[in-house]
Amino acid sequence: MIEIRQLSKHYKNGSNEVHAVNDLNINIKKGEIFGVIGFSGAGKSTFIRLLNRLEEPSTGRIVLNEKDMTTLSSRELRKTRQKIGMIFQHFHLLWSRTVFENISLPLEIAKVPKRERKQRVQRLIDLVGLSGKENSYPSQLSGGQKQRVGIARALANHPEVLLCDEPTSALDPQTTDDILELLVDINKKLGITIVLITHEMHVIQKICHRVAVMENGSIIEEGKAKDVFQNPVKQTTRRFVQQLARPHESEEDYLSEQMERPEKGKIARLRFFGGDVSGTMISETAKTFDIQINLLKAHLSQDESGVFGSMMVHLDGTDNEVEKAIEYLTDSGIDVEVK
Amino acid sequence: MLYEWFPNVRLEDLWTATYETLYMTIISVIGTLIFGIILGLLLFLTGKGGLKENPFFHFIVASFVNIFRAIPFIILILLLFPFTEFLVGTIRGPKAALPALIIGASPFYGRMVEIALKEVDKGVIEAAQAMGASLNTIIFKVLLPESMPALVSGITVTAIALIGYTAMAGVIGAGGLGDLAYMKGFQRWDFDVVFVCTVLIVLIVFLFQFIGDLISRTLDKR
Ligand SMILES: Nc1ncnc2c1ncn2[C@@H]1O[C@H](COP(=O)(O)OP(=O)(O)OP(=O)(O)O)[C@@H](O)[C@H]1O
Ligand SMILES: [Mg+2]
Repeated sequence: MIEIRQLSKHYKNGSNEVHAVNDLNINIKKGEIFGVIGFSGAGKSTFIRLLNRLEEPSTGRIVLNEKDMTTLSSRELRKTRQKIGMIFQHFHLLWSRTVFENISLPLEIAKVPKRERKQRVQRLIDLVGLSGKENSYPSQLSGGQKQRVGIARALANHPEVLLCDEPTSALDPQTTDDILELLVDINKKLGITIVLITHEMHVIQKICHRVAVMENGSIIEEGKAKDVFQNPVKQTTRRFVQQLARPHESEEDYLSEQMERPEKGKIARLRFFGGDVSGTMISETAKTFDIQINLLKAHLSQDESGVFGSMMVHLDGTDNEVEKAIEYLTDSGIDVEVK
Repeated sequence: MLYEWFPNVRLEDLWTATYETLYMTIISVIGTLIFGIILGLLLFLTGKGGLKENPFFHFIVASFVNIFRAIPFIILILLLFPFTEFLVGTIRGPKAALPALIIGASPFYGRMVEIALKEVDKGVIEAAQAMGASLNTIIFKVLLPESMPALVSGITVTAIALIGYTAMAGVIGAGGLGDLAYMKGFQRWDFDVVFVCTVLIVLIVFLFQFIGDLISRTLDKR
């Protein structure tokens, strides 16, 4: 669907050159949700803007649906862009237009007749759950509602691809989840290929089929989302994986500091990164070795790709048995941190 | 009573002069609106980071704007006399004032248009580009609507400056309230005429200000 070959973008900043995107090679399949995650300055925005040539590549090729984007004339490029939707972190709606008129804009650009435009816009408004808001102006909407307008607008002209530049970074956690669900819904219902960039691990975990981790303009790890995060190889990837558990960890640390040292055994934090590792590992371990596992605190969440999060436990038993249990847990893909 | 207080004021003259002032103002505002927006768009589009960045062309337009903005209006009228005569066929009367009024005000308004366009959210322009919009579409469906309140308050300020210019033009025979105040009032030392003309001009300024503010406020949905 989208083939990216040796794609680079360099900026000249006076005398020194910034390699914002550096020799990328990616294949994105039809109908998948492909995530790109990276810290600030990794080159994510530059990358996604290269895909519809809002940014001109320095070198390399982008082939979208057998069409080489990089050689299109400006007229052909405009025609092609009409079939590529894009949504933004800060929505970029026209304040001078109502919800209805905002969604109608891409259809006006594509010269869709007025009657058909009206029907399509109304259907989109229903699809994104904004019925009754047709005549509101963006200033009268919440962030989540604005992003829904952005999504409807991006879908209006039946695009084959939807590019999302940090679509949830300006939203609160609850609204983020709602918008992500809407994106999954759209991906399933309409079969649209989605390319999404983010710095939030949670977003990738929740909706992406495949993920690429980006650093300094290059992709350092790539694959199925659950594989990459279950066995993170690179330091940056590990840091993203930890992001999932982090909010709770300070709470757990506090707990372990407050607790009296147990007479025997150890206090440990177990981190789960999804995949085949399941909650039953805990009871299995307790059965296999001569120890008891007391649960002190847990923050786990389960989704299609497995269990994520962390728990604090007291591994109660002889030193020898506890050591063996820790080794067993580590071997099965759980990160064990002894306190 | 009117006669007692203003013995030299003739209603008929007042009516004609007010009409001429309104005529000059309205026509020149329309002309300024058109040329000013064209100049503003050229400045914005060819400027640094613009959609059609072109330093050479930008320099030409900017120089033209700066030169005409620098010439005092009263001198501009004199300077344009040959051009006016060629264009209108006379150098007297309200019609003859129009070229100078429009040429004097357009660069002034053009700069305001440029500033208004610079205030349009870059992200929104980019969103339109991402939808495959052509330059024309971006101008008419994004740039102008999104900057409309600023364009309207800019033309309001310009219109008020133009009312001032029409009075100045009146002194050298363009007609209107300025002409009346100078010829019938000042030259004959009939200050009641000058006073009534002043009041009328102030009322016209207030009227334009009021209408401009109203439109600008109604359009602004931010
Ligand atoms: N127009 C530009 N001119 C010069 N350098 C640029 C330009 N745009 C981006 N860069 C540089 O390219 C690098 C990548 O920027 P980019 O915006 O793609 O990062 P990002 O991953 O999207 O970061 P963030 O999460 O903060 O948005 C940065 O070092 C940035 O300074
Ligand atoms: Mg970015």
